[in-house]
Amino acid sequence: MDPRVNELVASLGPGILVRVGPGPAPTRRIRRSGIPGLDSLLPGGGYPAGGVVEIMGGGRGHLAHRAAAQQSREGRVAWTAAEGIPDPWHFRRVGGDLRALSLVRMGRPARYVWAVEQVLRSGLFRLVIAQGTGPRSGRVLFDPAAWRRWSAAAAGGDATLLLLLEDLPELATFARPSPLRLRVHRGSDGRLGIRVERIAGRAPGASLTVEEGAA
Amino acid sequence: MKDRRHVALVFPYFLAEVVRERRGGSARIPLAVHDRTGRVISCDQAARDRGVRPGMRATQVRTILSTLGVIPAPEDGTEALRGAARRLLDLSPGVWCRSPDTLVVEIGSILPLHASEAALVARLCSRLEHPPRVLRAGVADGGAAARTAALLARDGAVVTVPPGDDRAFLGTLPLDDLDLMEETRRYLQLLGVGTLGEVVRVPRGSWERRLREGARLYALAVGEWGPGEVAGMERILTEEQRSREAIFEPPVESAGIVLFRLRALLDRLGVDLLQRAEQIGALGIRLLGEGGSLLWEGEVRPAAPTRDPALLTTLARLGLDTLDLREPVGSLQVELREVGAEGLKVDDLFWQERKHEERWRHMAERLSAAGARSGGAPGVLFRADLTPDHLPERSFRWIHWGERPVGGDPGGVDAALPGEAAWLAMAERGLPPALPEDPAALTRCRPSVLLDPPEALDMDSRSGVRWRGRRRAIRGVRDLGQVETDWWREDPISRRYRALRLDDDSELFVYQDEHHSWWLQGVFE
Repeated sequence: MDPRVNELVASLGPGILVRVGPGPAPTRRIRRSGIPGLDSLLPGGGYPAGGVVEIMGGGRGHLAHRAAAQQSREGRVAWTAAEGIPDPWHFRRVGGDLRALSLVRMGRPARYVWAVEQVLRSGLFRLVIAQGTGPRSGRVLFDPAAWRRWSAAAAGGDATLLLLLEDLPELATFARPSPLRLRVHRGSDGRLGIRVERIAGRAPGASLTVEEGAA
Repeated sequence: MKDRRHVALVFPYFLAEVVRERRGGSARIPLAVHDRTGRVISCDQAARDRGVRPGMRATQVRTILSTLGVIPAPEDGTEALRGAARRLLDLSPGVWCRSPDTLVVEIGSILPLHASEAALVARLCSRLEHPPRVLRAGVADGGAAARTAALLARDGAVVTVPPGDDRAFLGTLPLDDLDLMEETRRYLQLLGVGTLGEVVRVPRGSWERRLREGARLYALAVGEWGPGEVAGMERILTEEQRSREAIFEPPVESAGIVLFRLRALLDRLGVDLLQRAEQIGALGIRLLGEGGSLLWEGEVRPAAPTRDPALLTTLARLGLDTLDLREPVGSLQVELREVGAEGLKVDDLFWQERKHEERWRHMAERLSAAGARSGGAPGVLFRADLTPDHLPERSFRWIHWGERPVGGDPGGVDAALPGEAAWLAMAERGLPPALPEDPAALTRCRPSVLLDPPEALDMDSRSGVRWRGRRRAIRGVRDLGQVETDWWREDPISRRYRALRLDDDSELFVYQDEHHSWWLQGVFE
């Protein structure tokens, strides 16, 4: 430090000068994904707690099962479904605790959006999985207003929302600034490739890849 | 929506009375008012008694009665109706004006403040500064149905359609009681159509092709506004309900400053709203660049209507959280939407002070009630109970939360998993595949999403599979094994399971049964 500053501090006493700068980085709360290789690539080592994670592409259901299995060992998980149901044997096979898994079934899209919001806001679940596109119909099950309500509800209920999406043209018509977006693809050998397509706060276009077997 | 209710106030002779008041003249001379196209849009009772109806041509009307005064509508003819509508804004957040004679008021959100619908309607009528001589009122779920109900009201009585009964009410209405063009009446009489319910049986397009007001007729029958009527509906808003804008001088690049100004705007709006006892159902936010270019647009919608600006600011902050300002912001616009649309009763589902079990039960009850209203099963919240069965759909059951699982804790199910074991079974025909050693392959045998129940699959060996409404070619097949069960029953089950990969990269979990029919039972997502 400048000698004149030292002299000033000596004459006026310690504490007179305080260096102002960026404070320590806030602790990021995360929820582990159940795939160690993926966790190592994500900020903080997992999915953001109270945030929305979009998973797109073939194999997204398996990623959801893995995350649900991991979180079921740490707390409660809700799987919301408008079409079809998650296979409980698949869930059990990847190490999930069925006692911690709840299924919410609501067929009509408007009610489904509402039900997901209620489950997120409840504060009862660490992880909530929602079908952004119907696995059977291939339809988008929500709209921009619903996405924002879910985002707010996830933050309010401290739940991580995994939003499973098929890559449909309609999704490009509205902005979904999710803090994290993953794209999955299934190779011919059955193994899954996971690409981190978006992480909030990082330069667009950055991507990382980890190879993950199907189990 | 459950709380959706509207009142329609119809002043059949409103415009004609306004014109007569301005021009003077004897009330005994019938009076009709026409628009720029020469069609009658309003007439007084004297003219109506002589057979004049809205929709007639002015020239046609003059041939009926030579003493009839046929006057063009004044330019500010609608303003008088708007003035009446604005007076009702003190009572309801949703008021629409349909020239020349109708006001529609949303009352679902304000009903809890009044003793009854009748009391509310009476209060609305009392707010009109110069109540017209003839006023008809109707109450229904939809605005259009309420107007139709109002047209039937007589002698000061209010016609009320019970909640949920709009369609039933409209279906029985005789067409003679409705305001239709003469050519429409003649045509319907020719067809023998006497009620709106009979109108609905014919497709909308057929009416549109055959009648000038065919679209309006069909819309009337189903309780909707006709095409021209929708365009003519004008929502009456006060300045506070439209928008507030904050101008940044000079334009700012900091999202923090944008949020600060947003909070200030919402605080002001919040005060206004508290004074008017209204609540915000949705909030539209728009950021504009220096030249007015749209930088960002979004909407926040609290789970329940609120008068809490702090809550809205929090929601807005979440929406703006990942905002990446590439250009300086010149102005911030805030628009209130659907004020008070959902009702004044704020039901906070998750009161944080509640104990965990109370919150759980409350959530389950609310979800179950919503499921029942949707026509689905009353149980919406389930947990899984694994059962030892070879068929995927019988290898588990979903039980309503609170029931005890069969056979004890599912976490203690024996490690020998009968689902996969079925694929190991030695079928009588000796067809089952060898069980893969690789656990990854085992998991791939079960899809992540099951369809419950399985659906019939349209399969053709040459053209492929009908999937999501289109024919899809099959790019690959994985044989998942044979399941033979129930052989001790009258209807034994034999299925060959396969995974079909289609040309759109979907992978379907299917089986062919003992009758060689194909079924879709899941999707590998």
